[in-house]
Amino acid sequence: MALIGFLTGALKLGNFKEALHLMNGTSMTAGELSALRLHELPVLISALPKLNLEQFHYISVHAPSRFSADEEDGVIDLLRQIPERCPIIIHPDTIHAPGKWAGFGSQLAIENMDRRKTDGQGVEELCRWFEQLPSARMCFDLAHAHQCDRTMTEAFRILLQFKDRIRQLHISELDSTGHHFPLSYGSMQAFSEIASLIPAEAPAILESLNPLQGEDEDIQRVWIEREAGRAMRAIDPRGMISDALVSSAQATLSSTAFSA
Amino acid sequence: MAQINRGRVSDPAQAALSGSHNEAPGSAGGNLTTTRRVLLLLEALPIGERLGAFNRVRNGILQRYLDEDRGLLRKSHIDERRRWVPLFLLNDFARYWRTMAVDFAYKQFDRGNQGYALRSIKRGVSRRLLFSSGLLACFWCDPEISKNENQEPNTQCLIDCLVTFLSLTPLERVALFFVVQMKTSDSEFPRNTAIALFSAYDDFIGLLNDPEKRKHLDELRPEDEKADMVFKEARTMRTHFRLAIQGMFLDKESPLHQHSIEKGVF
Repeated sequence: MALIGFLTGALKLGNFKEALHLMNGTSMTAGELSALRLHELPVLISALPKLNLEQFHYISVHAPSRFSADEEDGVIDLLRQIPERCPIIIHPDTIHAPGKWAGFGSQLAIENMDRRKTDGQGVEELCRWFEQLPSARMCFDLAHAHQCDRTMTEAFRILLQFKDRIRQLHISELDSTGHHFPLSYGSMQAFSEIASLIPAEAPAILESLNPLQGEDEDIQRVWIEREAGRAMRAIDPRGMISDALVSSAQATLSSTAFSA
Repeated sequence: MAQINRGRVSDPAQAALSGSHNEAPGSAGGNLTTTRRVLLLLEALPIGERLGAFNRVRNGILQRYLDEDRGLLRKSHIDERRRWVPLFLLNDFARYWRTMAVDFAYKQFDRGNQGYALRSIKRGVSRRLLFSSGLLACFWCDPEISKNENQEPNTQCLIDCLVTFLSLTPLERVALFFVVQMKTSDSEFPRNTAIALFSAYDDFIGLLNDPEKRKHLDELRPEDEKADMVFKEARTMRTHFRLAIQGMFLDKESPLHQHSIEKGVF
């Protein structure tokens, strides 16, 4: 069974402890700790040794998505405190001096970017980053690839080129302005078209924004399970199951949720 | 860019001023839309370093051609051979070629034969090359033609194959075909045909690059062409080019022969 879970910031914005608490009552086996905003990083690093992560077989950390060249050394110093077994996910456009990041080796996972960014979207741009950081792995964001090319041809090319580098996946729905949402059927269909090329062992981290934040925790957990199930179906190499079965499964899940 | 800024590059589809190149293939968009869409696939290049918009539009157009081609990539119920050639796309390329031919005849009337000789030669050489390179792109999707051992039967792989091939110029596409055939075949056919084709095209470029001859052809009246030596020279190279193209697609030794008969004709 592939490892699957959520980015903490998607479940509970700016509160990784609550997000972990939500996942605690679910079958999630992987997680990504979000420090996308610079001020979140020192808080996360100091809390990391005390976090209860027992349920997870895989944990990664998302580095801040924006910092200045002056702040880069401080970010690197903080990220060095993360245990080596935890991959660090980074947006390539945030890197100012690639040489400073070489020391992370294969702990670093460079993420392919969405259309808002001017770099790191396609194979050729990513190749330039991996030339500078040859030991780095890759975080393959299916939603970013889908937003850049709705035909999934660039995703296909990325998988052909970097299949062996892929450390983890990011899965979600993304609108044209770069905001994450729960998976749509269209995205699931698009992802399924290249599913046979996705490394089966790559943990899947969902960035689908939890639409039920603030609601009853049990209801949120049902949504977590359901969204994870949809993601697994989308990247099932055997292809997606039919609409009728999806609807039937959703109906069963919904009735279970409300009778819980 | 400098030529565009100075207004020295003519509108590729000047017959009308509306329409969109990315209108869905097969819709009732008319000649202009078809022409723009097909030219975007066959000879357009993005300007600048950011290629995202261009690639998105091109991939999107190709996806429509492939996804709506019902029998594409399926195996034949007769001989179990997979159909790699995208017929929806091929038929639109053919439509563009025929549209151009009809448009040529129409312009003869519309423009009172002005520029007839030059347009006639260009249609028979450079426009024929463009269409041929499009037809070849469709046949290139068949791994037996491209000799691509990694070809997979899915839409993304075909789009990637087409995009890579269509990113070459029309002459480069034809050259790549011959290079691959020469590497993988002992026959003299690809070499001889390539020499005939590229020699004729080289002569054509030489003629168009001669300002006096070009002007002469542009101003030549149809009633004078029979006795005209420049036109005779141009017509001869056009014939050589046509015969080379015909050989490339229809000669029994050509690997394209079967596809040309089955998919290009009937």
